[in-house]
Amino acid sequence: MASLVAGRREADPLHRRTAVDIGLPKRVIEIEPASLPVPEPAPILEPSIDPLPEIVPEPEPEPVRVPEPTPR
Amino acid sequence: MKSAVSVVHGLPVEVEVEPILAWRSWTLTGRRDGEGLLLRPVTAGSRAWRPREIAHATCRLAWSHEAPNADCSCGLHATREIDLLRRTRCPAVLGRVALWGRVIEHEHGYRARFAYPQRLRLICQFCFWQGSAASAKPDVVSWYARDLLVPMCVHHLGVAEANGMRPRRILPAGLVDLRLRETYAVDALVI
Repeated sequence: MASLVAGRREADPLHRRTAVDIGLPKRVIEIEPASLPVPEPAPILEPSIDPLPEIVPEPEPEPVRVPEPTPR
Repeated sequence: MKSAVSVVHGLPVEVEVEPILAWRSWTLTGRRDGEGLLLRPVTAGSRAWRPREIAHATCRLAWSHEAPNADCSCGLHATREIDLLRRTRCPAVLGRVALWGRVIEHEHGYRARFAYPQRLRLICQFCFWQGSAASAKPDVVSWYARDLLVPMCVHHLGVAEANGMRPRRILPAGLVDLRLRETYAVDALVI
């Protein structure tokens, strides 16, 4: 069983036992890509229907004033 | 476009604008229903490669330098040839990765500061060890403790069960492979 390890760490006994040697370093490359090869973050899905309208309670009807009976 | 600009630790430095494409393998974890998939380096303790996020190299051995460092083994590793990955520990996923930032080119691979997978494919690690990536197509994905997912062909599932590696759940490989590509928003790797 092995893991990837660069050639310069071959002297480490632990790494020597588990290493897949990618060999000695040859050169350094500084890469600045024009566009990053990474997908955009997943979109946050908006609800597809309008939110329900807020329910406003109807005002209570004014109390009906009953005229007082007039004495005959 | 490239040009030699300087020398670092005795190595020539060149500047380029196109990311390097190289080979890499990972282990895979996920929930028992095949959701929550996460690519993890084959080396224990290394940070997972999160979906839709740039993998960023750090060095555990020396806080004094940025990874990759020419005098260290740090950085995000990838190989030039696919066959070298047959020696890696428990590979579950094989892929092509884009490497950029500072990249140290080695004889057989690379160490990079930034990376992200471009194409992914599940593999039966036992077939991969014995043969080639092309013949390592899995039929199922076995779910084990600690959310470890192990793609296998039917033959090696039988071998695993006969040797006491009975999975807690078995998922269809095609479904997990599709979910993996959807999760990381990458294309299928065709070998």
